[in-house]
Amino acid sequence: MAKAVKKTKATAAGIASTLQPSAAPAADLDRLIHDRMRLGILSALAAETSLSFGELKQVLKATDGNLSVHARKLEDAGYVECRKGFEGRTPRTDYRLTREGRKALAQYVAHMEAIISHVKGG
Amino acid sequence: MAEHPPTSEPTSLHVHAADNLRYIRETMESTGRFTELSGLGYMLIGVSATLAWLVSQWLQPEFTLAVWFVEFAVATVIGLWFTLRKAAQAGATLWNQSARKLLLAFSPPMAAGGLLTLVLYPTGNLPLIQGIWLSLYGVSVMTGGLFSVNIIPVMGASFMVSGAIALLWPETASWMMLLGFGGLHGLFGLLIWRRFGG
Repeated sequence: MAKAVKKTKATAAGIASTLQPSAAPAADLDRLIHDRMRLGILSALAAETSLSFGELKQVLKATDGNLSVHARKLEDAGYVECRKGFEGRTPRTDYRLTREGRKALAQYVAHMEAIISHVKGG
Repeated sequence: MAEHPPTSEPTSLHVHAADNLRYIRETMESTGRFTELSGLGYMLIGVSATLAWLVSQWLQPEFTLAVWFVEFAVATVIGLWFTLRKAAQAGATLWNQSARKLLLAFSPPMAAGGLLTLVLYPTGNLPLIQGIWLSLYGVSVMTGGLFSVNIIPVMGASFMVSGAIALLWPETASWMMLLGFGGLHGLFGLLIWRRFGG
């Protein structure tokens, strides 16, 4: 499936200027998951094997429209998997983190920790 | 050369990064999971357990349990220290609801392990005691891990397998101690560190 969303890299000029010479981590910031809602979706799914749309909505206190838009972007990027099924007669959508999504979140966490360490150390 | 005056930008960036980490932690916790377990802490526990195993091989067998008692105390201190450190870095309080649930689930099998050690100590049956330690620690980690990230119950199950092997084939007990408390802590610590930081 064609990826509808391209992962963009932050130019992070401000970040780079304040963190030189070790500004490389900032340049690699994954903008797709830097968004709060998308970061929240990945974080919640990292803690559970899978979560339903309703459970995600409850955890993130999001509206249906907002959650589905952001979940779709993550799905298109290959970070989350979506499975549609039925629970009795009620439609149910379950999300789970893919290996790429887990890796992206881990890199993002490492990135944030590197920034904190750099500022504290420097 | 005159020093540049400090700017507020790095501080701001640092604050934003800490805020993002806090958000990740809080979101994970809002699914009912305790996320402050430190991967680095587990790796160091693995290292200290490996050293304890080496020391126990070097000393007479009657000192083996004493060495592991010391290691238990050392591992507890390392684990608590790094968990507190991770929580402090994320600006979190450690004593939250998921931490309480984890402790409540973790403690009973550990207490049973302590009681069995007390009862079996006079028998001097080292492989049996070590097999029980591995098994019940595995149970503790598995049940406590239900209130933490998914990888923790897997680590608990791996300890239970090590314990089962040690109990069924007593001659392997010493190696299982090394593989379990040294190897599994190291391996899962690395995985936790890579996935969840700290």
